[in-house]
Amino acid sequence: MAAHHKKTGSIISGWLAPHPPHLVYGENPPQNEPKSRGGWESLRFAYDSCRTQVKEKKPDVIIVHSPHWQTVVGHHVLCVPKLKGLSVDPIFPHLFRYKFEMNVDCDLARAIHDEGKKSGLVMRKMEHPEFRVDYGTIVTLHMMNPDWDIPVVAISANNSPYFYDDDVAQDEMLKLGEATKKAIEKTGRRAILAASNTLSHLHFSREPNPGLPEDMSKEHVFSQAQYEWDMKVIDMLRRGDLDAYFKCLPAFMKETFAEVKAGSLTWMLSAMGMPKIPAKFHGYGSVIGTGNAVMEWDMSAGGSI
Amino acid sequence: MSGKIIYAWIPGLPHLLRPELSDGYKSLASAASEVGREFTKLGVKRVLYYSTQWLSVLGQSVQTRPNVKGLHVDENWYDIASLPFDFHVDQVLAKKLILASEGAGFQVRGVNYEGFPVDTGTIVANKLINSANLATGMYSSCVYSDYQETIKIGRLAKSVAESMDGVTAMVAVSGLSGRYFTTEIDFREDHIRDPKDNEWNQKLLGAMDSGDWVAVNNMREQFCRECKADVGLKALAFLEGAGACGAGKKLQTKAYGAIYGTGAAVMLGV
Repeated sequence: MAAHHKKTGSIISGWLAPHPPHLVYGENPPQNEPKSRGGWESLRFAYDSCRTQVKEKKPDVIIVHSPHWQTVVGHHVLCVPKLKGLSVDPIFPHLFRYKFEMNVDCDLARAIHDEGKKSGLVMRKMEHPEFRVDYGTIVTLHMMNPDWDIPVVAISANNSPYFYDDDVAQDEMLKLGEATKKAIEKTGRRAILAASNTLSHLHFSREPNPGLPEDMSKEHVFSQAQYEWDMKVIDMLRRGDLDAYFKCLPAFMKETFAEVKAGSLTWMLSAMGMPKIPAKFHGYGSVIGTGNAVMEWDMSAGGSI
Repeated sequence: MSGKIIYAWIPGLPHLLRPELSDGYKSLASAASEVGREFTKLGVKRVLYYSTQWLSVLGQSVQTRPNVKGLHVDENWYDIASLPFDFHVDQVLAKKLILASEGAGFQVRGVNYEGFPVDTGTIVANKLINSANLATGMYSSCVYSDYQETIKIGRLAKSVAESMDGVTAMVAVSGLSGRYFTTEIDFREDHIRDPKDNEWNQKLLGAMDSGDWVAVNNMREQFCRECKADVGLKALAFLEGAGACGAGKKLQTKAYGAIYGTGAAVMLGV
């Protein structure tokens, strides 16, 4: 009998990788049509370490979970080998009109789909060739790897927590994370994960300076209470105290409308086996008042996978 | 100038473009097409859409691109229907809506971008009721505009429509009870997910059908709480501000049914 020594896959690292389109707008990459004078540097520069890590570690794939691909029926995975097009953000069209082109790791996408189904989740493969990829997915992936030379898998955010209650989907995100981990192992991929989540998510309801969206003299945290919540959560993650984090998660979501409610961070931590290792903090900044942090879990520093 | 206005409420899910999937979808789609024929009879010159699926966050948005064209693939229902669209936007209407919004103290942005993703609801409604390809307008549903503020938006839209020539149709694109099935279903067996939602929908429709606006207002908040109403029934606020819910006015139910567990109705203002 021929021996098949398929290498077991692994997760190299996981990143809390927020997606405000303002970050791409501030950077002025060639793919984005609107041009700016800069802005939101504290967050944009926080992604530099991530970009360096991606280049050095050369993962087979980057997997992102995005709150801006909202699905009602189950969890969906992109499953078209090559997707390209123009993604115009319906909320910030004046900031984000991005020509995207991405290679999707469909074998891994199918494996995530299959493992999710096995664990009892409703899963769907998105196979429409003209699908417009959401700006959450694109911004996070651009900020992590603007060269787009690594295949990706994108997973939707099932919006049950917005229809029902916070607990429903967080449980599902734990299962989805475990399914993702199994799929990575079975397909032998070396993966970097991205939780495309902002922390506190209450924000301005008017554009502070419509004539100059990057006017940083108008940017500030939404409230001191929201800022303090963000720092509390960041500190827990920096100490690797996931027990404390999950204990306060319902209150954090309720009081700051935290975008982690969409489940991306829970999914990622679950995929990494709930690693009680200190997350490395790379930067924090507000975007129209929301709180955003770039943080890294380096699994070579001791995770369970 | 005192242009005339007529009103309609159309569901905005793509299932209605696949009437062969269920008798319920067929009935809703057929009623929506009938509303379109009524528009033709009444000499409607333009259609202004307020869709609760076109969300804005930092203020209000008004579509201003003269020809908005493309293919939309819904993020959730991509295998139900591909949605090509080709809207001709009434430039005078768009400009007046922006001026009136600014005049009312709203922050408003004109949207004129190639590739802008027109929302599923507006595309579906337009396909069903606007086979004549009448000029259109689109006003966003701002997340931070509450019910009362949305009434003001409806009011300013009314003043704009009255300042224009001919008949303007004000079309709210939205749903009723908002409880979706969260698993795969057989479309032929689609029904309102919760029997209580069904009761609430029928009660609300009954009051609108008979023009009992006191009853509608009395039950509205409870309706929203009890059956997770689509975007807090802000579509109704828009129509109220636009003049559809005054004394002697009715929103007649032309069809009622379920779309993936949620409540859906086609209504025509008389």
